[in-house]
Amino acid sequence: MAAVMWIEVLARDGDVATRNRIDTAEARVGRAFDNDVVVNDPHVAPHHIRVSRGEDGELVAEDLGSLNGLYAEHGAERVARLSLRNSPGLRIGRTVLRVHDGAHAVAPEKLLTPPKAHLRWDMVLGAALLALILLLNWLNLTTEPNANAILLPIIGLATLLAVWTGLWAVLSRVFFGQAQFALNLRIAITACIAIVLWDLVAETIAYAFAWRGLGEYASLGAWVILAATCYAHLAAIGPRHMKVALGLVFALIASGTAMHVVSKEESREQIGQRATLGTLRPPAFRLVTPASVDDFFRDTDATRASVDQARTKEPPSGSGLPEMD
Amino acid sequence: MSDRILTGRVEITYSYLKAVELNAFQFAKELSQRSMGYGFDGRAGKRLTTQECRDDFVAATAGKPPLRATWCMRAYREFEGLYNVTLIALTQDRDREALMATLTMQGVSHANAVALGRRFLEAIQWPQ
Repeated sequence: MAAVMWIEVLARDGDVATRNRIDTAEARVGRAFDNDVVVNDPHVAPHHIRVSRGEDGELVAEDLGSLNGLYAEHGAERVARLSLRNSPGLRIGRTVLRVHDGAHAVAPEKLLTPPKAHLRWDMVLGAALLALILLLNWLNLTTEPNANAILLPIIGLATLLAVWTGLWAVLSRVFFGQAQFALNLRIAITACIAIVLWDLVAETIAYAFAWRGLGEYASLGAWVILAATCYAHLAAIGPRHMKVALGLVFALIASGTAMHVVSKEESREQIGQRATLGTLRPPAFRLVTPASVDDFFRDTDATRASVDQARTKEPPSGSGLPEMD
Repeated sequence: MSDRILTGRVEITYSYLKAVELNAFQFAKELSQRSMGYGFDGRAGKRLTTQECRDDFVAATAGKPPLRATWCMRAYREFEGLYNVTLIALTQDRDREALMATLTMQGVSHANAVALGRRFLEAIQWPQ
């Protein structure tokens, strides 16, 4: 008895449309109904190709004299005979087929998240996010507590999360067939926690090392988190779009970074830096040895050089108001 | 020199702050907010450049509290070597008690600003 082979006909979106078991030594593929595999494509001949095994068991596709010919899946050159040893894909007309030997190794079984597990994670992460926000509110509370000031941002964030998750659920429903609301919500809440924590850590590091620049550019980290979040949502929709997903992620990081840097530079040229001590933390968070007074004032030479250089530039337009300096 | 430009004006403020109900984080937040109210507007104009700042922790002398200090400068476009300077200093040795001091100097040279700024920082100490 001949070894089993399988011929898969792929749909336009790359999914397997039909999978045909072939127990004979060779299989014919075409549009006619006397073929072993029937392809519904007007650009495929009634009897288009034959798939068989060579003497060494190698799977081979041969063109049976069709008008539109035989190609490797991603190939541009028409071929009369195609070895499927290294790549199982071939193209006839506008249809892609894949031919697998019965012994073809498949990927290991993927772990399935148990039912309701995402929902449980949503509840745990949601509680963690709420606790984090309340904690930060409390740490930043310098006046009498005001319920509106605490509740309104939480309601706003919950609405944003619902809308964001809803949009991804719709996309998931369209492309994957399932909304996966709980999974998308889990991704969105995780992203919120990451952004809140990053903001907290960046401000603390900026204080601890007296890095004013980190405080000013910390929101770049939020762009990276946003890009990673979009990637996670796209990965949840399905692995076949991962190249597009990666492209989208890089484009999001690049455009976000560029916008942020340009707006910061423009702001620095027109508005300048504010005379402020920045975001402070309790003194125990300081991680650098204080500079000596000599070092501190020596470093002001660089600030002087910077404003001296700015003197030579034209003042920005729209600054025609008289100044009492 | 233009009659619209005042030079040599010096302003010093000291604020002693002690937390009664605030914890260390809340007190630090209060200090952050208060430090925003000092100094010159940093916007570039016809007469002045934008403001540039630098921050650091400074140890004035032994036995005196470490400070968080911010130095900000703007240059006069028409007068080389003339600046507006803001120096803010905050004691950094107590969680719920601090002295915030500001020194603003208008139309001064860098050398004079540094000399006065040095005296200003070195003078900050808790009463013995």
